[in-house]
Amino acid sequence: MSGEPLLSVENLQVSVAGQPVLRGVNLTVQRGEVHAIMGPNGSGKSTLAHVLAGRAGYQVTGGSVRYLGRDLLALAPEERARAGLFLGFQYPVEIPGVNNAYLLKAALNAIRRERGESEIDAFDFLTLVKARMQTMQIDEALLSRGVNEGFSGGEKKRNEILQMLVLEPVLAVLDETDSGLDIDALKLVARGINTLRSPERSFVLVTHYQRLLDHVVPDQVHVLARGRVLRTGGPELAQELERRGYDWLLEQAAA
Amino acid sequence: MQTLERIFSEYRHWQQGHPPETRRHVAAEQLRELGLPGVRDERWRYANLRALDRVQAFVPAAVAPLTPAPPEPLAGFARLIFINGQPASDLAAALPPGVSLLPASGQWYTLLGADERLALLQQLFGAEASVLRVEGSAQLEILYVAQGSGASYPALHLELAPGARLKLIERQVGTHEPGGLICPHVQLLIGAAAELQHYRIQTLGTESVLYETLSVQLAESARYRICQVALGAATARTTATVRLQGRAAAVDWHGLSAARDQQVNDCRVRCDHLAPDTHSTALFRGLASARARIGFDGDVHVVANAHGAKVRQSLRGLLEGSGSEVNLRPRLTILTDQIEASHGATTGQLDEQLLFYLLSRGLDPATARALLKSAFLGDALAAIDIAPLRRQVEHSLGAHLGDLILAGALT
Repeated sequence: MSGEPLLSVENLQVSVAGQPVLRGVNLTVQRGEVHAIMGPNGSGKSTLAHVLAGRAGYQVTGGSVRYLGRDLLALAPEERARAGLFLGFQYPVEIPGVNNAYLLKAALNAIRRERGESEIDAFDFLTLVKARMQTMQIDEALLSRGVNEGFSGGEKKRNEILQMLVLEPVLAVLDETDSGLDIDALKLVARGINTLRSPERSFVLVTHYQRLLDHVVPDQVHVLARGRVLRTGGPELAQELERRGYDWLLEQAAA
Repeated sequence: MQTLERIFSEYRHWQQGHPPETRRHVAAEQLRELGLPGVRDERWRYANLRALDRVQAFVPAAVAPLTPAPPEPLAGFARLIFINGQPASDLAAALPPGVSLLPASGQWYTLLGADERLALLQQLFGAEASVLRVEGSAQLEILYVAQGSGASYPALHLELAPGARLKLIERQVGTHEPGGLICPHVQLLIGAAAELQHYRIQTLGTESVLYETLSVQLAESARYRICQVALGAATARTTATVRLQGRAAAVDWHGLSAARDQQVNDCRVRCDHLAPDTHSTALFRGLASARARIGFDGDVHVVANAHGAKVRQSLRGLLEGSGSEVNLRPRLTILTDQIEASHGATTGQLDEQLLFYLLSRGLDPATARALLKSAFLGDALAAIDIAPLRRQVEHSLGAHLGDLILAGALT
């Protein structure tokens, strides 16, 4: 497996209800890299994130995705999660009645079992979670509440990052985690991501705006539009997009 | 022979061996006049009345020794046991301080409405109700055990003196042979400013047929909080009538039904707001799998002088399996302008978005589904504020549904 990218998306084609959304996406992510996926509304960014996580309702009509040397598309969503793939949701759901702490612990133990580790001790779990909550400035009282139940938009996004910090994924795909956040919450989310950056861990950040990338500097920026990656560049591409928008790229692609 | 005629035929034959009692005679007259309920009657629309036709014998079953192991007793609760409708031992000796056994009144029960007509079977064949009176504060558990074959007619008349407090657990347990019938009638009179917390747990065997009647009357500022859990029986029907007679009387009804296979479980709660500032809430959660049917009919009436009344209903059903049904009917009849009322009823399958969220966190599909089902029922379970009882119910629920109800998983 040495030398093989962590994630390799080749010519991925996806339809939703018979309509093509992704028309041949290519993306290669090495260990330790942060990739930003940007693009206008309806370009297929969230579709890509959900297909990577295994959500039902998307038909893969062509191409392949390899992750950790395995055919990612052949794995069930829970198998992907246990293999270290984490999806941060754009709209985290509320699950009234299901205890936040319980979900965190069940998720962590599912991953630990997959790695052949024993279940985490209750005390160690609380110590870990409380430390991570401090990083994200989340009130400990939220632990005993229902998952995202009654949380503000910002709290939900911070809770997604908290889950990521506890689960320590190999690859985190964050779908517009920065949307709807004020500047302080944005900094917290960025802090969470930066806390976890390491040579072994990779991130795919789906975002509309460059502002998150002021705080989390990506290795590569990809512009996704009309179901294809139109341009790939470094952090300066995000700044250029911020200045010029997407139209110039779309026009170039159409020419 | 029609079922009603068969009932009278059995009654005539059976009463020859018993001293005549006016109450039975009155009940027979009333039953003849009202007849048995039929499926065309909206109030019985979701009940399985065919099970009544298949009852083998309406005459009471003999008293039998207790054979199944009863549930673990709960600390602090005195326990009374009725087997096939009759006290298993001297009730008076088992009563806790604050609760006394009164002599049978010798009077017959006046129906609170035609809804209660199946309680007439209890009057016809059953013993007189055990009459208990509560003063001060008490905790009591009553276990109704059904076993063997035949019919049983438990009856309880319970009065709370003004200002009294009672936690009452009633359990219907046991395993009947096919064709048996359980037809209990419980009457509760809650005095002024008294408070009754009532937990009814039904975990009968899968052959049992239960038609139960619950009549509740509340005086001024009285409080009645009930959590009814229905898991067992082939057919189970609860007919409840709650009368908020005194100013500022209040009822909180929490119902939970989980039915599988071909179980039919329905509950009708008629709630009358008869005085100003009365409050009622009804929260119901029904989970039907395979070909099971669940019904809940919340029928609230607010009379013209009941100004300041508050009514809330939250009814939800969860379907698992293409042949399952949950029928929810929130109904409000309001004859005053000065009222706050809200109601909602929804039925559907498990939310795929929620399921995917849990799977994306590594939970296996079976655990994720069990967790969501537990959460769905959680609102109703939360009303069981006696921790060991809640654990017992969660255990029964897990065994019944074949899923784990995950300890510590719920808020």
